[in-house]
Amino acid sequence: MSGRMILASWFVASLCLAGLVSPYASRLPDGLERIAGDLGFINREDALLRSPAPDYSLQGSVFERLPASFAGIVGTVIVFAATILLAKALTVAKLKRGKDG
Amino acid sequence: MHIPDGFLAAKVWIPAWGAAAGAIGLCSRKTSVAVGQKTIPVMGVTAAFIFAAQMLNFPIAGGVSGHLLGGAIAATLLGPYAGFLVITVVLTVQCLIFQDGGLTTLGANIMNMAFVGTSCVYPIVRLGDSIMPKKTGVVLGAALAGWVSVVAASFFCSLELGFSGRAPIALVVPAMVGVHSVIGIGEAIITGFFVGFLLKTRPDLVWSAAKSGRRRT
Repeated sequence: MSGRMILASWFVASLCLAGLVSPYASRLPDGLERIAGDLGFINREDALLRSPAPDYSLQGSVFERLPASFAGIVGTVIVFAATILLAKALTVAKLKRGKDG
Repeated sequence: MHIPDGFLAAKVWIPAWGAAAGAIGLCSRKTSVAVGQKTIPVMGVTAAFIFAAQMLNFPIAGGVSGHLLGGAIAATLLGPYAGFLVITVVLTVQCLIFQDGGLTTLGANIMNMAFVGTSCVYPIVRLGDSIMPKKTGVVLGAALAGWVSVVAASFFCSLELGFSGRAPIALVVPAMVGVHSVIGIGEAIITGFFVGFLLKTRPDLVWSAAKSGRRRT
């Protein structure tokens, strides 16, 4: 398999994990949440930011009617695009600095 | 292990943001030296994969779940600098779009999961590679590094909580490290299988294998 093909299939596999498998992920609290509950500081949690899809859920947003796994797929695409843009920006910065950069 | 807003005191999250900004600057400069046109799509797909895999919480004993952090996968595939940036992008998108981890605490989350979580990886992978034959050393080294990265990240996370006065250090440190030494076994298994699979199919995509001077296929 060529490098391009394996990267493409790896990306599609990631989309499937985010879109198809994530609804079946465990809903139990993670290690930090559990300990925050046990040690009594979970109520200190507070959100400064109103995110478009808190906790990967679209409830209450304009996208409410879309299936929940949509959030995972969109997130995967955003992370991919943001990383590519960052890496390209760094390459441009390198070229501008010249070879000694 | 994504710390939400409110869990850390300003005297902890402000310096953590400063340290994270410094690490981002350093790794951006180092990555921009190392990044090649071929590396860019690998960085993108690694980031996408780690984001997706982080959504998959698996249950462990005692009513707790864990998920992959991906620091060991990122650093084994991309090296420590690009690996750090990839995890930082994942954490930033999780914070801004999905409210997974707070904005004030993003610096601390970057330090714990991206900086600690990737910087401990390469020495362990090299050690494994030097004492064991063929690809076994890289695979087992990456798996061990996965466990270490999760436990080390949880140690720093618990210190930050302790210094913020949210719980006594004597309680929160053993609690966090204890739970994450179990979650870390999941990280080790996923990291080992994944790195092993890539080394078998496309070893040229694995930075650590290239660094150890293997013939590229």
